[in-house]
Amino acid sequence: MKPDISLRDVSGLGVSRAQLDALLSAHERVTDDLLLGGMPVAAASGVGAANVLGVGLTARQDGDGAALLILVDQLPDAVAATTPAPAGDVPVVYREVGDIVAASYRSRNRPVYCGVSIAPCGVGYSGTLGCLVESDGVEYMLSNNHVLANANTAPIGTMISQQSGQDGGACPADEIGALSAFVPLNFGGSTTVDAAIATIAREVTVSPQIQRDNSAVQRLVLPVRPPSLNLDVQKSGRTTGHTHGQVNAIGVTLSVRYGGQSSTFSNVFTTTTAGGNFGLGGDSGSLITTDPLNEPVGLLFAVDARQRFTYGHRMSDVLTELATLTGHPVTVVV
Amino acid sequence: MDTREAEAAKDRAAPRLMAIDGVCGVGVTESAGRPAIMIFVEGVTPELSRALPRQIEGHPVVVHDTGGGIVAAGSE
Repeated sequence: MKPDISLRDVSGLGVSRAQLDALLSAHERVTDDLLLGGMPVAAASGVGAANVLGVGLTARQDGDGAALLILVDQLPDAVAATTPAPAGDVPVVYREVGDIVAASYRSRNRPVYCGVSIAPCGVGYSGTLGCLVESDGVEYMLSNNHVLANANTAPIGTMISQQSGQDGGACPADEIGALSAFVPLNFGGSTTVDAAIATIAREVTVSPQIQRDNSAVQRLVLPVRPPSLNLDVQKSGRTTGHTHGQVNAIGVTLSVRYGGQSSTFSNVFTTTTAGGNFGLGGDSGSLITTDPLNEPVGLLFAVDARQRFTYGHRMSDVLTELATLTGHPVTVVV
Repeated sequence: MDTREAEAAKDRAAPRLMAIDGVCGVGVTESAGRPAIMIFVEGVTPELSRALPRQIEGHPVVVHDTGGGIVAAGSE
């Protein structure tokens, strides 16, 4: 399936209709063979070993037109030297996501900033710490139920590690808190929000600021903003790091799959990034904020199976549900 | 942009649209500078294309192919 990108989307890059068609065909081929087929770049290019994490369009490195963007976890020198190996005669730009992101979003950070890798102890997946919230004088870490509570299955009190075990964290050495409460996911029915909170361990400092690239952090600004069409947004997450995009649908009612089960949600908004991914698997729990001001807008919790759109709950809905859960008003800590 | 009318139309249409096999979401988006209804589908098929409305209460319909549905975004 070719991505839904029009000539207007890449108008600033000086791309012709024929060039765009070639790029979209290459995008489809690389997505099917490398991203969905699970074949590493090595198998296509004959060198190195790198797994494809995403496919998109971007500006050519020489500034002359557009190129196919292939996100890889690690980039062997030889792969870069052999472009455009996997995409025929279309120019390719590789971007190393894994190691770049690992530097600040997947590694152990103390103090802990929001936007980084977390998971319950003993699981094989990763999610993202969204932000801090406060209820009745206590600060909690916010993420998704399917991150902190493993989709309803983790007992209250389950220890949370930063970074996740998948990213190299170990328990008890890397524990930063414990699961406190979660909004139950109603499989086979409707759920209000996919959200959970965790207490912060006494000996750990968790900052309300959001991790950005190059070890920078950004302070949150209130009030909470509702998502509106074309609103510029940003997020930091464990897998794709700091990304920018726009809100492109609101008031979405949708069915989301959790393994073999599903639940329906309402009042969701979607975000997208032209030629790239606003979020990928592992970014669940990321706080979506206005760009550049950094006001809370929503909580990322789902993606397209082919990872073009990212889905978020409105922050006001999350805070309302958490207030019901805790019995006290809940606010974002800034 | 005032999306309230489109959101109300979407709310009224959502139950019957979500009941169509292959539809996984319904929302409000923008098309050509005006509010539109977005229908999220697991994949575009000729049968599904025939089953989906071209407009809803005067609002244009935009179909988004999710490429297999919408999934929780935890890492594997």
